[in-house]
Amino acid sequence: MTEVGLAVLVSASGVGVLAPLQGRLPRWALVSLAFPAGAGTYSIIGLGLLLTVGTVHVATALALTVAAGAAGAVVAHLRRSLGWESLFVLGLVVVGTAVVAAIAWTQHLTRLTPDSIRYLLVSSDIGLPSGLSEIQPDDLLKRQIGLPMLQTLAELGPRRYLAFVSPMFAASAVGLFVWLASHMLRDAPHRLRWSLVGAATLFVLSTNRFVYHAFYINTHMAMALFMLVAIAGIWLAIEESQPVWGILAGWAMALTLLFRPEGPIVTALILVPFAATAAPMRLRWRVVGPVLAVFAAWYVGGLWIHAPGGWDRGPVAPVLGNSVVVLAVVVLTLVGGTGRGSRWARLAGRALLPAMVGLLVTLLAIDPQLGLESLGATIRNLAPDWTWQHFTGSGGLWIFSWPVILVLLATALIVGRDGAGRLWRVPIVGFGILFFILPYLRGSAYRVGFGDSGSRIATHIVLVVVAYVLLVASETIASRRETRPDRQTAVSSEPG
Amino acid sequence: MCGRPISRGTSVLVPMKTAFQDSRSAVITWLRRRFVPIAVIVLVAGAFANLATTLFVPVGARPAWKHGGGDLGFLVHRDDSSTEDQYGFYVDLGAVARDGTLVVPPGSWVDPHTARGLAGVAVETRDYPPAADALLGPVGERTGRVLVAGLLVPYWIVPGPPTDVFWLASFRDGFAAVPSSVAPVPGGDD
Repeated sequence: MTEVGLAVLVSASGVGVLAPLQGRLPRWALVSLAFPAGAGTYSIIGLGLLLTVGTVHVATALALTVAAGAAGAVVAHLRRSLGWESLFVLGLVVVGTAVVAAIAWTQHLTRLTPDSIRYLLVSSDIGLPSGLSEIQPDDLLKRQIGLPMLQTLAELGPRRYLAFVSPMFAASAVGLFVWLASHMLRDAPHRLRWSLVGAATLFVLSTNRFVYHAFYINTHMAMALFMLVAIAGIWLAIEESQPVWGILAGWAMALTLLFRPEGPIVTALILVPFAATAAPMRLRWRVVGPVLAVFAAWYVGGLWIHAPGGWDRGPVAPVLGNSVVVLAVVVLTLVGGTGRGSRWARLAGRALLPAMVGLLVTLLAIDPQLGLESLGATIRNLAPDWTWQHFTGSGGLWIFSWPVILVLLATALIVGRDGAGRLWRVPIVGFGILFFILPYLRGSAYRVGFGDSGSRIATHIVLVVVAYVLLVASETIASRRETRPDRQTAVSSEPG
Repeated sequence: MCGRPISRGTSVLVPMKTAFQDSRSAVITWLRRRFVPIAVIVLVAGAFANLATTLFVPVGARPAWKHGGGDLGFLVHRDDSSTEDQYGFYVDLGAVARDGTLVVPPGSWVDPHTARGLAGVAVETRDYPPAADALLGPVGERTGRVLVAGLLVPYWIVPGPPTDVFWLASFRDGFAAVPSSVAPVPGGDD
């Protein structure tokens, strides 16, 4: 089967999985989320097979994914939410996926580094009998299972890797970003609205490293998408009273647990401010349910058993530490929905960032060299280097993107109002602090170069920060609109 | 300036604080009014600066560029020298020895896990004298270089009639994967 066919099957399954939500999700969001929904379903089904049978039979996993999509379509049909609209969405998804996958397949744009090879090696391991035991312990902890599981589909294709995975995640992320931006700015004047959406999208697409990661075999583009879905989903569920987004946010956070070793901490950064809101218990369960389910499968069923030395390792993914973080934040989220517990959740929401700063300061005091080295490397990676060194690739190759992002973020943090923005602000600022804690967790400093892990992790937050800037822009537009009629009233009421 | 008179008996710090708060809120109000145009201008300027500068980035470091092939071997040998140095040997071996066996001497640098995953070959350790300079005739230019204990050494994938068994030899100043059809494993069964 060609890669295009595989990509279309995964995306079409995603349409089916999302079909029961049709009518409660806007069309463009459905189209954008189809591939991640299908890919996530395949990953979770593959994980289920790996944990129960011991290996992943790729054709079976794909057949079960398609079956899950079909089951979703049947459920939607029984709820009478299927119609021409569904066919239209399916058509758009199939055509869009085929175009992206065909470009990725024929144009040979894929980028590969030693890290990519390690992902592909894990991918070949999990197809063996007792697949989890075959994976090298370091790879099991560092690479996790999400991307290798998706790459197992290459077994059905003509090549030994899939070129479409990152491009499809990138297309989904950009599609969702454009919809989200236009949704946030829906009350703005037409020209202003589309100027902002266009400028923000152009900026994202001009970002050298964003485009690089769109073709690079690694987890960064998937994480950028999951973080956007998780944070925007919780914001939409609470502020826009669209609880269906709570399920999507929950699944996005659950998938971060499968894709990155720091996934549990990122999940905590998103869930702690959510726990402190007045969200009803049902919404809380919708959000933490998928996180708990995937945690139970992957950490309890997978890593606890198959990660030798995982308990006592210092580096990126101490299994015990991550488990404690996930369980604590799930309990906090649920307790926060009860009368007494809400006080604790609010307290935790306020204490999270100061506690993280305290931890970072302590770590800096213990080993200032590592922190300063990481800071220096990060500055050189994220800032444009005006010497020729920059153009020969010694820096992070972010060119002007991070200076622009930091200027806008700083302004937005000053200008933005408290309240809804908190659901964005805490994860963004928390991610910034976590960024400098991670070198201590893995025991080595960031280095100068675009292959540096810090420089690559910076990709995860780009879309979220730009979306937050647009949210603040929409707030300022709304506040000016609110004050304008008062002024007009005051002027008209003045005696002539 | 602060808009409030200093009343008798009030600490001088209070109006100073108020003045600071007033000017701070004036700055915030100013920023809030101009945030949208600032955002549009900064985003568009940043985008065009990014696009213009990317043109000067060397081809190898550009975010995407087309190359001539699509298989994993081509990808490994393309633009990232560290990928090629670490994994090129396995990919080249896989092109001729897939589903076969690579016989290596004890303590070899060959990683069985990587050999299985990338080349699709099983690694078997046997005790034999690995020197092959006397056994092999002219084999042409090296196939590539491989990173061994921090040093880049040349390797050769020796051409020969199809066979399932290859063996690792020390050859010239590097290594060679020798098909057993060209020279049988020294002291071995084949």
